[in-house]
Amino acid sequence: MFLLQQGHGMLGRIEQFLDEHPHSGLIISPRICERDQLERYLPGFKRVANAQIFFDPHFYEPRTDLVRVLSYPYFENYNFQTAIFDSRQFCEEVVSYQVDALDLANIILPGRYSNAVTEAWLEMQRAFADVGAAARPAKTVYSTIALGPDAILNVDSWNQVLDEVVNYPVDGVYFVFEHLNNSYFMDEEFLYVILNGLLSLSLAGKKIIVGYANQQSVALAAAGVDWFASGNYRNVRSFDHQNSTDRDTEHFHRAVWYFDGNTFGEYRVPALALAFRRGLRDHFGPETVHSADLLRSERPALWTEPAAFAHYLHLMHAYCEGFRHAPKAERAARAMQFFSERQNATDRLAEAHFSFGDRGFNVAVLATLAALESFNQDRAQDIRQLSD
Amino acid sequence: MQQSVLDRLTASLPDLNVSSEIKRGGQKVVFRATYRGNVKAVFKVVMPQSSEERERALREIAITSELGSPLFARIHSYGEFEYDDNSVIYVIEELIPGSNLRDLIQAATPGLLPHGEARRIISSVLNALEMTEARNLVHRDIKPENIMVTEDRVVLIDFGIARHLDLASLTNTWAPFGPMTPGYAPPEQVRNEKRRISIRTDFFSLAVVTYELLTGFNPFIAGTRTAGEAIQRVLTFNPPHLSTYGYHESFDLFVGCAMSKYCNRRPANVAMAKALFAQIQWEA
Repeated sequence: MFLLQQGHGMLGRIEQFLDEHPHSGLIISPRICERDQLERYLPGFKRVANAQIFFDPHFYEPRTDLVRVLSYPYFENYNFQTAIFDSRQFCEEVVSYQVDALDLANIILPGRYSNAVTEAWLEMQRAFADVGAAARPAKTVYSTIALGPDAILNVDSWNQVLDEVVNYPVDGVYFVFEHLNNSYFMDEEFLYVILNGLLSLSLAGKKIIVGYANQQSVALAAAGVDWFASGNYRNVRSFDHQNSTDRDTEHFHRAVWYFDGNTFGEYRVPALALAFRRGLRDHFGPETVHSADLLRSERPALWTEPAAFAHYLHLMHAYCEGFRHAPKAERAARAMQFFSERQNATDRLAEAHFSFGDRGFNVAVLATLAALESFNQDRAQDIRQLSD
Repeated sequence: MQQSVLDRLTASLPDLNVSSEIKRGGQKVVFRATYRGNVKAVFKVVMPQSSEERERALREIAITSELGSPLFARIHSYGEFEYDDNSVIYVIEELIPGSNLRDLIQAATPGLLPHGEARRIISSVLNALEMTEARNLVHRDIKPENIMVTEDRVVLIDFGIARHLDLASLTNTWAPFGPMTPGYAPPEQVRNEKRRISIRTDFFSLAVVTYELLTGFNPFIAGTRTAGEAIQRVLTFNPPHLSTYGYHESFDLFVGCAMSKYCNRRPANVAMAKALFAQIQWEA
């Protein structure tokens, strides 16, 4: 249920992660990975038993200048001009690369990012789905749906998309979306709308991968999501279509944060040190093999980026596994309970006057619960019909 | 359709004896007939409007002919007759002896069938849809006129040829829209959004039929003067819940869900529709 959304500097650690985390997998991104690198590392990833491996063709911005993306073979002889571009031919080449060159069991079809749903976009998406489904019937085929907040919040356009996707002849959907805030949803309406849409896709029998997920995205398990893909840096914990054009995200300012599973916030080590000094140590957790030293030290100081990443991904995997073990029809209730526990932990820290900082989840936990509660209330009948 | 073409066609079918005309539309004619001696039959002739329509009609008739269920009229024979570089498709099918649901509704006082009968009819249509869903067919024209009711059978008729018969004549009148029956066709059919047509399209129409059976009127047609008004209502009007007419809220779950304007919010398949239908508390 958990997939690594490959970020910068991950290649060397992926194999170990897959080995240590059963029921996990990986989405490889051309934005991060040269073609020859990918093909060199792939056999090692495949060696891990039961690891699910996906390749994101990264067609979000067809006019991208990213050299890595354009280095993949389906972009050869490629010219995205409305009058010339042959979406069927392009899709066949994307499928061919994943099947013939990479020999993957799962295929992710190309999907263009859009913040406005047009007939041309719908037509292209359907053409991709038709070609993908017909090309390799023995494979598990996912359509990419990449949307911006305006397309999702507009009732008609969002339902237009859903009305079509439920009829796609594919096995699943790889869903990536931008939202109003670059980090958490602080808008319960937005989360509610996404939950409703994903439930429709689940009920239509589509497997769902939510890409570029962060800890809050786990709430979408309530709608029957099958896989969550998340990664090390923030740019793979929320989707930004501009990262698919020419923005070089490797030079983002980096800081080391501690992800707290109890409250779902991320805190700087000095904030943690102050809390520990004030006797609040027991509020933080749960401890992982990667964070044990940090959480047990008298004065937390040593917290490295690799440990922070490993700790975050380990917990995300654990939370996703927790949902995987529950029947889909029960996950909405479980999600309510899960985020209620986060709210309670957050409240306790707030009562102790802990300063949550820039990445505290305290700003979003109530919105998350409000969306889940409304979703549970309004779609109870449909939720009960979710099957595994 | 020219009489001379019909004459040549019937002359080519020695097992058929046409007796009387039942109805005639722009591109179609339906006759009462006997087949192979004394088997009472319906003889339908339709002129396809395009090669695509012709191929789809033939394909769907072929699949329907293999359904082999009392929920459908048995197709004795079908085929294509070519003349002067044109062709017509014909179907010889079982004559269902009962009344259609429209006749029953109109004869009932005050337009309402007993609940047990309504339940039997809707349940049977769901069973019929279960069979067609498995073959990836969509009826596209579920309405009281296409549901035949006898003492021991409910039969969904005009499957696979409905739009090629009754709907073909509508296409010209409502050119901007897809082939459909106003007041029963859901928004995606009204807008001719072909990619969105699925079993969910039939659920919408069946929900309208259910509503009509329980209230005595079609909520999208009642009070309108033209088909255009009914179409507009389908697109914009949300009928009052059945619970406002005294029915148990469980009716709203089935009808409300299946009558959603957005097809993604309707039941995804017949099993789900049946699950909702099974929850209806008829006696409450």
